[in-house]
Amino acid sequence: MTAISSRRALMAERSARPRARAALGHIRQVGQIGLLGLCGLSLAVALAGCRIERRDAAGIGEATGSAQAEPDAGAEVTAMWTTKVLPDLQRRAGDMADLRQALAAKADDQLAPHGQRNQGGEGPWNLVVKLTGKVTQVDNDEMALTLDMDTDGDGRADVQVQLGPLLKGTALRDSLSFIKFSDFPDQIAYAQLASALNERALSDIHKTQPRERIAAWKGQTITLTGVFVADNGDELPLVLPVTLAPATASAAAVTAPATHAAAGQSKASP
Amino acid sequence: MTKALAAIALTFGAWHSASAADLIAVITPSHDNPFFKAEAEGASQRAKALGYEALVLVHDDDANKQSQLIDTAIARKAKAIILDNAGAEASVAAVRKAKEAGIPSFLIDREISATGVAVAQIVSNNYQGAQLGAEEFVKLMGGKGDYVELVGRESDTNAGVRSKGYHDVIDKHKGMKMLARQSTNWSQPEAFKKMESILQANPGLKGVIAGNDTMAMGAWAALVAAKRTDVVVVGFDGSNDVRDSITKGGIKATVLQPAFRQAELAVEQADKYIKAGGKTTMPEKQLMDCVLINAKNASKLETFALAK
Repeated sequence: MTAISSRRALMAERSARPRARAALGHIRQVGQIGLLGLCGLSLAVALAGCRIERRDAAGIGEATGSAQAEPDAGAEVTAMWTTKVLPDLQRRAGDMADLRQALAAKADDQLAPHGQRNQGGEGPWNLVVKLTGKVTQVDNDEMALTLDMDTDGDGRADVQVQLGPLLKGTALRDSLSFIKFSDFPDQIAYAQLASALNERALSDIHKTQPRERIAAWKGQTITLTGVFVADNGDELPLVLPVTLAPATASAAAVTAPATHAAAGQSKASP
Repeated sequence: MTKALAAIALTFGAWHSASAADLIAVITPSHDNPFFKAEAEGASQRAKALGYEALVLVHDDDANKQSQLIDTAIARKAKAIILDNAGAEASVAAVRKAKEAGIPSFLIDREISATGVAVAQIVSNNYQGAQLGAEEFVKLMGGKGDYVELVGRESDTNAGVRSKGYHDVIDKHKGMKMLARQSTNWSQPEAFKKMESILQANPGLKGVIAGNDTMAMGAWAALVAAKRTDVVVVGFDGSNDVRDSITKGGIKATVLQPAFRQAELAVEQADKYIKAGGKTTMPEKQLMDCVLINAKNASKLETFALAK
C-alpha cells in the first residue's frame, strides 16, 4: 500500500510538471516577462500543488494521469535499480534446467516463484533465469548483437542472449514482482519504464563487458542472470541479461562440459 | 378495477420476464471496423453462454453518445458494462457515473486516464506489439529508406503508445527516414486520401507503417490505385482483411491483438465479480501480449484469434 501511494504521488508530480511548463510557455507566448513570468511560475507551482492535493484528497483509490505526462522513467529506474530491481531478480532467478522442466510440465506453481504472467494469468510466463553455458554462435549485427548458447550440454543452442543496442520486448519490466501496471497513468508511462529498464540493463553490462569483448566470446563459457518470455513461438528463448560474465572454471564444468564436438557449429533449431 | 389489476399484472409480468436473465451491456465503437465487431461478438457470445442477456450498443467514438448509452445501461439495471471507450479523458466521467449507480465497468482495448473507477482495464500490450511490427517493417525495408507513419486518433492512448513502440525501434536505424507523420484517425477513407497526396509529393516513398489495420487498408488501396504495390505496408490489429491482403502478397505484415479473447476475458471477470458480490482478485490493469502476423502464419488467423 505504501509502495502504491508513493508511486501515485510520483505520478501526480510527473503529470504536474508538463502542465507547469505549458503554463510558462503560454505566458511567454503572450510576450510578457519579468514579474508576470514570476507570477506564472508561482501560479504553476501552486497549480501543481493543488493537483497533488486533489488526488490525495480523492482518497478512494482513484488516480488520474495524462497521456501528455512526461515521466522521467530513466530517473525512476536509477532510483530503483540497485535497491529494488537487482535484489528482486537475484532472489527470484531460477535455474534454466528447472524452468525448462516446469514449462514442459506446465507446472505453474513451480514457475510462480520465478516470474509473472500477463493477461489474467493466461499469458506467457515472464521468467527470471540464471544460467551457464557455452556460446555456440555470435551474430554481431549492428542493431542487435546476439549470442546463441548451449546451456544443457547437448552441443546445440537452446537460448539466445540479446545485447542490443536494439533490445526487444518488455520481459524485464513484466517479470519484476513490485511493478504493477495499475500504478501507472497509462501504457505510455508503462512503456517508458520498460525501455528505461532495458537500457539500464545493457549499460550496466557494458560497464564491465564492452561490446567488442562480448562479440569475441564464441566458444567461451559464460554465466548470466536475465529474463525471458517463455513463449517465443518457433524461435529460441530470447534472454535479456542483467548480469553477464565469463564463467569460473568450476561453474563451467558443472553445466557445460568441454567435450562437445558439435559446440560452435551452427545455429541449432529448437 | 379489473382493468387496473390487469395492467398491474401486465407490468409486473413484463418486469419479471425482463429480469429473468441478468443483463450485461457491451458498448464499443462502430462495428464498421471488424475489430470492434469481433469484440462485441466475443463479449456477447460469452455473456449468453454464462446465462446473461447481452445488450450490444455502439458509441461511434462520440463521448456524448457514450454517456447516453451508459445512462441506458443504468436504466436497464445492467449487472456489468463491457466497454471499449470513446476517449481516455472523456470517458472517465461516464465510467464513474456507472460506478456511482452501482454498475461495475470492465474496459477492453483502450484505457481511461484514471484508475480506481473501472473494475478492470484489459488492454493489448501495444508497446510490445508495436516493437514487433516495427522490427518486421525495418527488416522488410532492408534497414533503410523513406517512409511515412499513419497515426490513430489522438484522444486514444493506443495511438500514442503504438507510435512510441514504432519509433523506439525504427529511430535506432539511421537509414530509416520519416517523410511524414499524419493522423488519419483510425479511418480507412482518411488514410486513403492522405496517402494519395503523400504519394504525389513523395515519389521516392518505400514504406508505410500504420497504427491500425483499417488505415493500412486505406493506404494500400491508394498504393494499388497509383500502381505502387512495391511499397511496404505494415498494420496493427490482425484483421481478416489484412490477413487476406498478406496471403495475396499485398500488405506485408500486421500485429495481432487478441481482441476476441480479450472481450471474452472481460465478461468472465465480470461474471466472477458479480458472483463474488462485487470482489475481484485480478489487478485492475491487465496486458495481453500481441503476435506478429506475416506470410508465415497469416493463414492461421481468423477473427482476431490465431489457431494453435
